[in-house]
Amino acid sequence: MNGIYRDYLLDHYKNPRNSEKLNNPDISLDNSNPLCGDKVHLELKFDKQFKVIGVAFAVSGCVMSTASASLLSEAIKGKSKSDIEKFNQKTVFDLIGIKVSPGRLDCVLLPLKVLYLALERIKQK
Amino acid sequence: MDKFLKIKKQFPIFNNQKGLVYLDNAATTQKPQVVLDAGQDFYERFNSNIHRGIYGLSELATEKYEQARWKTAKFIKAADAQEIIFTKNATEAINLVAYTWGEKNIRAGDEILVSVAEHHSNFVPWQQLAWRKRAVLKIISVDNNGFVTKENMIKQLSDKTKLLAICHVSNALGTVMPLKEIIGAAKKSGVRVLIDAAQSVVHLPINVCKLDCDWLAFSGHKMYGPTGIGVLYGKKELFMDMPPFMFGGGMIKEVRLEETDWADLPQKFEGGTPPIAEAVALGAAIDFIEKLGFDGIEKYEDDLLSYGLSKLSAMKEVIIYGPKNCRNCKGIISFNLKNIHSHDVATLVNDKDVALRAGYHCAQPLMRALGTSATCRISFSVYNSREDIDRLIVALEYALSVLK
Repeated sequence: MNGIYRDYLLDHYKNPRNSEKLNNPDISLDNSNPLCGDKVHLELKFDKQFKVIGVAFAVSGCVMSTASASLLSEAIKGKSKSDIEKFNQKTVFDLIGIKVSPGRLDCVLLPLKVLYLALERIKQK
Repeated sequence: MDKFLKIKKQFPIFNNQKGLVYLDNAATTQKPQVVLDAGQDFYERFNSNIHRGIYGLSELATEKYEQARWKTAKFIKAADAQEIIFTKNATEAINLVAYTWGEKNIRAGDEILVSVAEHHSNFVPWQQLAWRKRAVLKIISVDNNGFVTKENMIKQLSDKTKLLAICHVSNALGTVMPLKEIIGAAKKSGVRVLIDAAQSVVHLPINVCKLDCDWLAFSGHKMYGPTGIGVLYGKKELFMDMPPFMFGGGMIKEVRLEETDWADLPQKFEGGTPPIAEAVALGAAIDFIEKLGFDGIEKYEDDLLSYGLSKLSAMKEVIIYGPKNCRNCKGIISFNLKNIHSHDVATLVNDKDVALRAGYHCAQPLMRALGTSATCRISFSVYNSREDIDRLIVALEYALSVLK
């Protein structure tokens, strides 16, 4: 039994989806949680209708932050900017699929935090 | 050695959490039945408020509380029970000094020395005091093994230094700082010294007179006592000069409309109803430790530390922080598994009922100085055994098998 580390989470950790850098992303940013060392790099590319045609999440961190980023990247692809703006903590918890203990919440939510920062950056452009 | 192998039976939690390998004693220790009984017994037979009642039960309760104070004084070889103030924990004890002696004596341009290895509770109060007073906070670095040396301390010393605040044992690395020589050098320059003994008081005997520190702080819950009780030792003449910290009942002699006279020591610093039952239980924890004797405790725990270090060092994926041998170390090992996040290690070993700590251990400046952001930490107590370490190793192998 892997406790909270279900097979699909470990799969996303060992084989993170959409982790390859994009060509000419519209947005590229980095963030980290200095308290635990998790680092997230996010790139997004949109088409003219503001639909996501490219996403890259590269995480150097624990199973939860890496799996969360990988799952989130799959959820983002093909969605419109306005769809993504509605993503929230529940979105992430539904993707993770298991109850996350308080001690791991920051790990799981870090990719979402970076996504919010990216959306803010886009608004400012 | 034999009596240590049987000690676990005295701790009821291990009956309720069967199979638990508890290796997070630096965070808090488990409680022996005698300590639990002492607190319960107080409530069942002696409970009353203290110091003011004029009836038998109150006098008994006061006697029990003051006996705990006397026991604490004797435990750390303080000259006088009036030099023992009960607080709620070590953090409050340190803040008490920062807000009273600190506010009264630190001025703009003065220097306060802390080490980079301090727990946040002995770092942030001084950082904030320096900020409030426009004083300068200077940081003493540790050597490659995680020790604060006299030489490193002297590098930061100047004629503006007013205070040195330093831990006895690092909560992240287990390194025992050479306090005698550090305090000796500080005293030569007329510097006041506060010692954070939260991680040392349970592992080795403390003699505040020999140390010649001005204040010393520790928490009951890290030495088999309950939560909610801490101790601030301070030299009597300093306590007499320091203004009160918490104002209210119990710490006054006379209250007039415009002004108030303070109570004598130690009540001056114990405003409000104190944690009475907790103090009594702390006294029972002191009895427990003294019955085992530090000679036996040190021998047993040093053997565990040595065994732990050798088993961990034998795993090629393990990185150990701090000294790789246990000379001048007590009870703690910080490590990581290569390329594996400490949070993942802690989560996975938990599947095997092993409790260890992962993170920055309330010591972010030290983590940065070590070049990491988080480590796994194991910390020993008298109810741990070599078998616990063997189970830890099995759990770490399991973690590696899941994540590699």
